[in-house]
Amino acid sequence: MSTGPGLDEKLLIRRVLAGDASAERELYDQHVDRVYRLCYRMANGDADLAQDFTQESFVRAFDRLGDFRGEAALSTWLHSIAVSVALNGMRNVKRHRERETELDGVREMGSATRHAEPDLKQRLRGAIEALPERYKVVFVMYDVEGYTHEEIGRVLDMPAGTSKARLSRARAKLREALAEFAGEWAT
Amino acid sequence: MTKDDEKFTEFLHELLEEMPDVPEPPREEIWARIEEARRERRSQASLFRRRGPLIGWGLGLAATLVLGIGLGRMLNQPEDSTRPVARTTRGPTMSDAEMLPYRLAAQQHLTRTEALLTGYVRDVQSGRTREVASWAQDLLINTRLLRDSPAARDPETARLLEDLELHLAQIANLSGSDADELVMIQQSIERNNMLLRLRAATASGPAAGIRGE
Repeated sequence: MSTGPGLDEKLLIRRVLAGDASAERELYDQHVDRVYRLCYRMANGDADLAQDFTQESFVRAFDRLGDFRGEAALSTWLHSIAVSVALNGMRNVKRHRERETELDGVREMGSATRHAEPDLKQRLRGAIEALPERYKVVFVMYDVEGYTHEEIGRVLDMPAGTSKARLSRARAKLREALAEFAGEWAT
Repeated sequence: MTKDDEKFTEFLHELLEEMPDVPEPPREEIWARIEEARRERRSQASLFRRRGPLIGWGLGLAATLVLGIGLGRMLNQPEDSTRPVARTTRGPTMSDAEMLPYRLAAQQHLTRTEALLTGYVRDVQSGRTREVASWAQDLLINTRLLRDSPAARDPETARLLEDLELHLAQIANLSGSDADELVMIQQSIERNNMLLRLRAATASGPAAGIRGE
């Protein structure tokens, strides 16, 4: 991700703003894979949600492209929209699931069975899902998707140092969550 | 970073590498959905543009009602100013001709409210919550003004405006597209038969009371 839009990108944006449908598709093709990856990770691997978030991200981006000032690369701007869409979407999903869990809890009272202890990977997946969103987004972007702290800082509009601090906090939380497997990394 | 931290980070990265990779995005399917959503939003936007003058007119109505109600209260001020002022709905008798503008205003207000209640769920779901909330806020102001006006002398209209005030306040306070919140509001609108009552009220026309209907 560069720090500002290149000439080709500026021309592409101009064509989109002028109503060129083929330019819209070109812009989409250039960015959809990374936007989808980010949405997929933020949606904890739920492909349906990832598609919803990707769709909404591009719809918003096309709606607001006129507001894009070109201070950062278009990808940075798009990824910040995707993060915002995914975080909002996941908040709604979480609220919905909490209500469902409450109802299921009532229905299953007395017939609950103890599930098998999840293995290490399942536990890790659960621990990532359970991270507070400000840590999760940095962890997913840096450790899972390979963004740099500078890129994360630009996408999330914060200093790179904050990104580093949040990553460190995220890893510490994961370590706590996986404490019972400590033998596996301490050896 | 301590040695232990480094070991954990290394271990974490090994685990992450073993995690299943992100599947290929269904690019065509997502693109089709984007185009469909944008088409829908464009038609919503044009609907809002068409409604725009009505909202402006509504604000005009609000201003007129404020002035009218204010003047009415001044003119009907009881001699003993320490006594509580009666609501204008219980004010002096007005002739049919004097009532007609209020009834007309109420009718037009109810028609616009019906339009909001018919389409707000779809509007919110397509991301226009802010516009919907602002529109509901305008209608809420008018509803309150009408409740304090001679238009609310008819008990049926008074009840209708009272219920509308509640629903419009709920919609005006919407801040996102929370499906559960929408379901809750919609259920309460359906429980109160709002659309049916609004249609019945607007179908009778502004001269209904005058004709003795």
